[in-house]
Amino acid sequence: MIKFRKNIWEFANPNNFLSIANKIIPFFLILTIITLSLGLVWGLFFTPEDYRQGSSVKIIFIHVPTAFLAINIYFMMLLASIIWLIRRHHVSLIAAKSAALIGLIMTLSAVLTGAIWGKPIWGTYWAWDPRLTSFAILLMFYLGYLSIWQTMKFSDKIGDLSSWLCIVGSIFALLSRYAVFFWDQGLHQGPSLSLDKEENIDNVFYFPLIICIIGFVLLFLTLLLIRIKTEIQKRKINILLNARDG
Amino acid sequence: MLDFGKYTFEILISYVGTFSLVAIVIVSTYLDAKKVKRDLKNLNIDNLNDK
Repeated sequence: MIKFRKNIWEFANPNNFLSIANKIIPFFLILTIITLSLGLVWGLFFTPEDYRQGSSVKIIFIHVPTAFLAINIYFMMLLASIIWLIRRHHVSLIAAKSAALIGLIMTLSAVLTGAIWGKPIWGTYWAWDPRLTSFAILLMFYLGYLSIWQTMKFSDKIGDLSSWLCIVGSIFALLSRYAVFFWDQGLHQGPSLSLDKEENIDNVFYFPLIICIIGFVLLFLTLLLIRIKTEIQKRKINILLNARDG
Repeated sequence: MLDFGKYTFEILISYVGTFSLVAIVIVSTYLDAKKVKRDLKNLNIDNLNDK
Protein backbone atom coordinates (compact mmCIF):
# COMPACT_ATOMS: atom_id res chain seq x y z
CA MET A 1 0.00 0.00 0.00
CA ILE A 2 2.79 2.41 0.91
CA LYS A 3 4.53 1.56 -2.35
CA PHE A 4 1.31 2.13 -4.32
CA ARG A 5 0.73 5.49 -2.65
CA LYS A 6 4.28 6.51 -3.38
CA ASN A 7 3.97 5.39 -7.00
CA ILE A 8 0.72 7.20 -7.70
CA TRP A 9 2.27 10.55 -6.74
CA GLU A 10 5.15 9.91 -9.14
CA PHE A 11 2.67 10.88 -11.91
CA ALA A 12 2.81 14.38 -10.46
CA ASN A 13 6.35 14.66 -11.84
CA PRO A 14 5.93 16.01 -15.42
CA ASN A 15 8.86 13.96 -16.76
CA ASN A 16 7.48 10.71 -15.33
CA PHE A 17 4.05 11.61 -16.68
CA LEU A 18 5.41 12.31 -20.17
CA SER A 19 7.39 9.06 -20.36
CA ILE A 20 4.33 7.00 -19.31
CA ALA A 21 1.96 8.97 -21.59
CA ASN A 22 4.23 8.49 -24.62
CA LYS A 23 4.12 4.73 -24.10
CA ILE A 24 0.35 4.36 -23.65
CA ILE A 25 -1.06 6.89 -26.14
CA PRO A 26 -0.60 4.61 -29.23
CA PHE A 27 -2.36 1.67 -27.45
CA PHE A 28 -5.24 3.88 -26.38
CA LEU A 29 -5.54 5.26 -29.91
CA ILE A 30 -5.77 1.79 -31.48
CA LEU A 31 -8.26 0.58 -28.83
CA THR A 32 -10.38 3.71 -29.36
CA ILE A 33 -10.64 3.14 -33.11
CA ILE A 34 -11.52 -0.56 -32.64
CA THR A 35 -14.14 -0.13 -29.89
CA LEU A 36 -15.81 2.97 -31.36
CA SER A 37 -16.07 1.41 -34.84
CA LEU A 38 -17.39 -1.87 -33.42
CA GLY A 39 -19.92 -0.23 -31.08
CA LEU A 40 -21.26 2.29 -33.58
CA VAL A 41 -21.53 -0.13 -36.52
CA TRP A 42 -23.22 -2.71 -34.26
CA GLY A 43 -25.56 -0.11 -32.82
CA LEU A 44 -26.44 1.57 -36.10
CA PHE A 45 -26.79 -1.39 -38.43
CA PHE A 46 -27.36 -4.52 -36.33
CA THR A 47 -29.91 -3.52 -33.72
CA PRO A 48 -33.69 -3.71 -34.27
CA GLU A 49 -36.17 -0.83 -33.97
CA ASP A 50 -37.76 -0.25 -30.58
CA TYR A 51 -41.45 -1.16 -30.40
CA ARG A 52 -42.39 2.33 -29.18
CA GLN A 53 -39.58 4.64 -30.31
CA GLY A 54 -39.00 3.08 -33.72
CA SER A 55 -35.56 3.62 -35.23
CA SER A 56 -34.98 6.82 -33.21
CA VAL A 57 -33.69 4.54 -30.43
CA LYS A 58 -30.38 4.36 -32.35
CA ILE A 59 -29.58 7.86 -31.04
CA ILE A 60 -28.95 6.14 -27.68
CA PHE A 61 -25.52 4.99 -28.88
CA ILE A 62 -24.39 8.62 -29.13
CA HIS A 63 -26.52 10.32 -26.50
CA VAL A 64 -25.81 8.04 -23.51
CA PRO A 65 -21.98 7.86 -23.93
CA THR A 66 -21.69 11.65 -24.41
CA ALA A 67 -23.97 12.34 -21.40
CA PHE A 68 -22.00 9.79 -19.33
CA LEU A 69 -18.75 11.56 -20.23
CA ALA A 70 -20.18 15.06 -19.73
CA ILE A 71 -20.86 14.25 -16.07
CA ASN A 72 -17.83 12.07 -15.35
CA ILE A 73 -15.31 14.41 -17.00
CA TYR A 74 -16.59 17.09 -14.62
CA PHE A 75 -16.03 14.73 -11.67
CA MET A 76 -12.52 14.02 -12.95
CA MET A 77 -11.90 17.79 -13.14
CA LEU A 78 -13.27 18.13 -9.61
CA LEU A 79 -10.87 15.48 -8.29
CA ALA A 80 -7.92 17.07 -10.12
CA SER A 81 -8.90 20.53 -8.79
CA ILE A 82 -9.09 19.25 -5.20
CA ILE A 83 -5.67 17.60 -5.59
CA TRP A 84 -4.33 20.94 -6.89
CA LEU A 85 -5.80 22.91 -3.97
CA ILE A 86 -4.45 20.45 -1.38
CA ARG A 87 -1.14 19.21 -2.80
CA ARG A 88 -0.29 21.93 -5.39
CA HIS A 89 0.68 19.45 -8.13
CA HIS A 90 0.74 21.32 -11.43
CA VAL A 91 0.05 18.18 -13.46
CA SER A 92 -3.36 17.81 -11.76
CA LEU A 93 -4.24 21.42 -12.59
CA ILE A 94 -3.11 20.89 -16.20
CA ALA A 95 -5.22 17.69 -16.33
CA ALA A 96 -8.35 19.59 -15.24
CA LYS A 97 -7.66 22.37 -17.74
CA SER A 98 -7.00 19.88 -20.58
CA ALA A 99 -10.20 17.92 -19.89
CA ALA A 100 -12.50 20.97 -19.95
CA LEU A 101 -12.82 21.41 -23.73
CA ILE A 102 -13.56 17.70 -24.23
CA GLY A 103 -16.16 17.90 -21.45
CA LEU A 104 -17.78 20.93 -23.05
CA ILE A 105 -18.05 19.18 -26.41
CA MET A 106 -19.54 16.06 -24.78
CA THR A 107 -22.09 18.14 -22.84
CA LEU A 108 -23.05 20.09 -25.96
CA SER A 109 -23.44 16.86 -27.92
CA ALA A 110 -25.55 15.27 -25.14
CA VAL A 111 -27.85 18.31 -25.04
CA LEU A 112 -28.20 18.50 -28.85
CA THR A 113 -28.76 14.78 -29.42
CA GLY A 114 -31.19 14.77 -26.49
CA ALA A 115 -33.17 17.60 -28.11
CA ILE A 116 -33.20 15.85 -31.49
CA TRP A 117 -34.33 12.62 -29.82
CA GLY A 118 -36.87 14.48 -27.66
CA LYS A 119 -38.85 15.91 -30.57
CA PRO A 120 -40.22 12.61 -31.96
CA ILE A 121 -40.58 10.98 -28.51
CA TRP A 122 -41.74 13.81 -26.23
CA GLY A 123 -43.11 16.12 -28.93
CA THR A 124 -40.74 18.94 -27.95
CA TYR A 125 -37.05 19.77 -28.34
CA TRP A 126 -36.72 21.20 -24.84
CA ALA A 127 -38.52 21.17 -21.51
CA TRP A 128 -37.46 22.65 -18.16
CA ASP A 129 -37.14 19.16 -16.77
CA PRO A 130 -34.76 18.74 -13.74
CA ARG A 131 -32.19 16.70 -15.66
CA LEU A 132 -32.25 18.87 -18.77
CA THR A 133 -31.99 22.06 -16.73
CA SER A 134 -29.07 20.78 -14.63
CA PHE A 135 -27.32 19.77 -17.87
CA ALA A 136 -27.83 23.28 -19.30
CA ILE A 137 -26.30 24.77 -16.12
CA LEU A 138 -23.43 22.26 -16.30
CA LEU A 139 -22.77 23.48 -19.85
CA MET A 140 -22.54 27.05 -18.49
CA PHE A 141 -20.00 25.95 -15.86
CA TYR A 142 -17.84 24.31 -18.53
CA LEU A 143 -18.00 27.56 -20.54
CA GLY A 144 -17.15 29.62 -17.46
CA TYR A 145 -14.23 27.35 -16.56
CA LEU A 146 -12.83 27.52 -20.09
CA SER A 147 -13.30 31.31 -20.27
CA ILE A 148 -11.09 31.73 -17.19
CA TRP A 149 -8.25 29.87 -18.88
CA GLN A 150 -8.81 31.53 -22.27
CA THR A 151 -8.76 35.07 -20.93
CA MET A 152 -6.00 34.84 -18.31
CA LYS A 153 -2.41 33.69 -18.27
CA PHE A 154 -1.43 30.42 -16.58
CA SER A 155 -0.67 31.12 -12.93
CA ASP A 156 -1.26 29.51 -9.55
CA LYS A 157 -3.84 32.18 -8.68
CA ILE A 158 -5.88 31.45 -11.81
CA GLY A 159 -5.49 27.76 -10.98
CA ASP A 160 -7.09 28.40 -7.58
CA LEU A 161 -9.91 30.45 -9.09
CA SER A 162 -10.74 27.84 -11.74
CA SER A 163 -10.56 25.04 -9.14
CA TRP A 164 -13.07 26.79 -6.85
CA LEU A 165 -15.39 27.38 -9.82
CA CYS A 166 -15.10 23.67 -10.64
CA ILE A 167 -16.03 22.74 -7.04
CA VAL A 168 -19.13 24.98 -7.13
CA GLY A 169 -20.20 23.54 -10.51
CA SER A 170 -19.88 19.97 -9.24
CA ILE A 171 -23.29 20.45 -7.52
CA PHE A 172 -24.85 20.63 -10.98
CA ALA A 173 -22.81 17.68 -12.21
CA LEU A 174 -24.23 15.72 -9.27
CA LEU A 175 -27.73 16.95 -10.07
CA SER A 176 -27.28 15.96 -13.73
CA ARG A 177 -26.37 12.47 -12.57
CA TYR A 178 -28.98 12.01 -9.85
CA ALA A 179 -31.84 14.33 -10.89
CA VAL A 180 -33.74 11.35 -12.30
CA PHE A 181 -33.71 9.78 -8.81
CA PHE A 182 -34.60 12.95 -6.86
CA TRP A 183 -37.59 14.06 -8.90
CA ASP A 184 -40.28 12.00 -10.50
CA GLN A 185 -41.72 14.88 -12.48
CA GLY A 186 -40.18 15.78 -15.82
CA LEU A 187 -39.94 14.19 -19.21
CA HIS A 188 -36.59 12.47 -18.92
CA GLN A 189 -36.74 8.75 -18.24
CA GLY A 190 -34.78 6.94 -15.51
CA PRO A 191 -31.20 5.81 -16.12
CA SER A 192 -30.63 3.59 -19.18
CA LEU A 193 -27.95 1.63 -17.34
CA SER A 194 -28.21 0.32 -13.81
CA LEU A 195 -26.50 -2.20 -11.54
CA ASP A 196 -29.94 -3.75 -11.15
CA LYS A 197 -30.39 -6.05 -14.16
CA GLU A 198 -34.18 -5.66 -14.13
CA GLU A 199 -33.95 -1.91 -14.74
CA ASN A 200 -31.53 -2.15 -17.65
CA ILE A 201 -32.46 -1.76 -21.28
CA ASP A 202 -32.80 -4.95 -23.35
CA ASN A 203 -29.58 -6.88 -24.03
CA VAL A 204 -29.94 -6.27 -27.75
CA PHE A 205 -29.21 -2.57 -27.07
CA TYR A 206 -27.21 -3.04 -23.85
CA PHE A 207 -24.07 -4.68 -25.27
CA PRO A 208 -23.43 -2.31 -28.21
CA LEU A 209 -24.15 0.58 -25.84
CA ILE A 210 -21.53 -0.64 -23.34
CA ILE A 211 -18.98 -0.94 -26.19
CA CYS A 212 -19.83 2.62 -27.36
CA ILE A 213 -19.36 3.94 -23.81
CA ILE A 214 -15.96 2.19 -23.56
CA GLY A 215 -15.03 3.64 -26.97
CA PHE A 216 -15.95 7.18 -25.95
CA VAL A 217 -14.09 6.83 -22.62
CA LEU A 218 -10.97 5.65 -24.50
CA LEU A 219 -11.34 8.56 -26.95
CA PHE A 220 -11.48 10.94 -23.99
CA LEU A 221 -8.40 9.36 -22.33
CA THR A 222 -6.39 9.48 -25.57
CA LEU A 223 -7.25 13.14 -26.23
CA LEU A 224 -6.68 14.01 -22.56
CA LEU A 225 -3.19 12.46 -22.50
CA ILE A 226 -2.20 14.28 -25.72
CA ARG A 227 -3.59 17.59 -24.42
CA ILE A 228 -1.80 17.23 -21.04
CA LYS A 229 1.44 16.38 -22.84
CA THR A 230 1.09 19.48 -25.07
CA GLU A 231 0.31 21.70 -22.08
CA ILE A 232 3.39 20.44 -20.18
CA GLN A 233 5.53 21.15 -23.25
CA LYS A 234 4.04 24.67 -23.51
CA ARG A 235 5.11 25.35 -19.94
CA LYS A 236 8.56 23.97 -20.74
CA ILE A 237 8.81 26.44 -23.67
CA ASN A 238 7.85 29.34 -21.40
CA ILE A 239 10.51 28.33 -18.87
CA LEU A 240 13.16 28.03 -21.63
CA LEU A 241 12.16 31.43 -23.10
CA ASN A 242 12.30 33.08 -19.68
CA ALA A 243 15.71 31.55 -18.99
CA ARG A 244 17.04 32.64 -22.40
CA ASP A 245 15.72 36.21 -22.17
CA GLY A 246 16.89 36.52 -18.58
CA MET B 1 -27.72 1.84 -47.10
CA LEU B 2 -28.23 4.76 -44.72
CA ASP B 3 -31.98 4.41 -44.52
CA PHE B 4 -33.20 4.01 -40.95
CA GLY B 5 -36.88 4.41 -41.71
CA LYS B 6 -39.01 7.20 -40.32
CA TYR B 7 -36.25 8.83 -38.23
CA THR B 8 -33.34 8.68 -40.70
CA PHE B 9 -32.80 12.46 -40.60
CA GLU B 10 -32.80 12.63 -36.78
CA ILE B 11 -30.35 9.72 -36.50
CA LEU B 12 -27.98 11.02 -39.16
CA ILE B 13 -27.96 14.58 -37.84
CA SER B 14 -27.19 13.25 -34.32
CA TYR B 15 -24.25 11.15 -35.49
CA VAL B 16 -22.87 13.72 -37.96
CA GLY B 17 -23.32 16.57 -35.45
CA THR B 18 -21.56 14.70 -32.63
CA PHE B 19 -18.66 13.58 -34.77
CA SER B 20 -18.26 17.08 -36.22
CA LEU B 21 -17.92 18.41 -32.67
CA VAL B 22 -15.50 15.61 -31.76
CA ALA B 23 -13.54 16.32 -34.97
CA ILE B 24 -13.10 19.95 -33.86
CA VAL B 25 -11.44 18.77 -30.61
CA ILE B 26 -9.30 16.18 -32.42
CA VAL B 27 -8.07 18.68 -35.04
CA SER B 28 -7.41 21.43 -32.48
CA THR B 29 -5.54 18.96 -30.23
CA TYR B 30 -3.47 17.72 -33.16
CA LEU B 31 -2.61 21.21 -34.47
CA ASP B 32 -1.76 22.46 -30.99
CA ALA B 33 0.51 19.46 -30.34
CA LYS B 34 2.21 19.91 -33.71
CA LYS B 35 2.83 23.63 -33.12
CA VAL B 36 4.24 23.09 -29.63
CA LYS B 37 6.51 20.30 -30.87
CA ARG B 38 7.87 22.59 -33.62
CA ASP B 39 8.34 25.50 -31.19
CA LEU B 40 10.20 23.28 -28.72
CA LYS B 41 12.45 21.96 -31.47
CA ASN B 42 13.23 25.50 -32.74
CA LEU B 43 13.92 26.68 -29.22
CA ASN B 44 16.32 23.83 -28.54
CA ILE B 45 18.18 24.60 -31.81
CA ASP B 46 18.37 28.31 -30.87
CA ASN B 47 19.75 27.41 -27.45
CA LEU B 48 22.41 25.18 -29.02
CA ASN B 49 23.39 27.98 -31.47
CA ASP B 50 23.67 30.46 -28.61
CA LYS B 51 26.08 28.15 -26.82
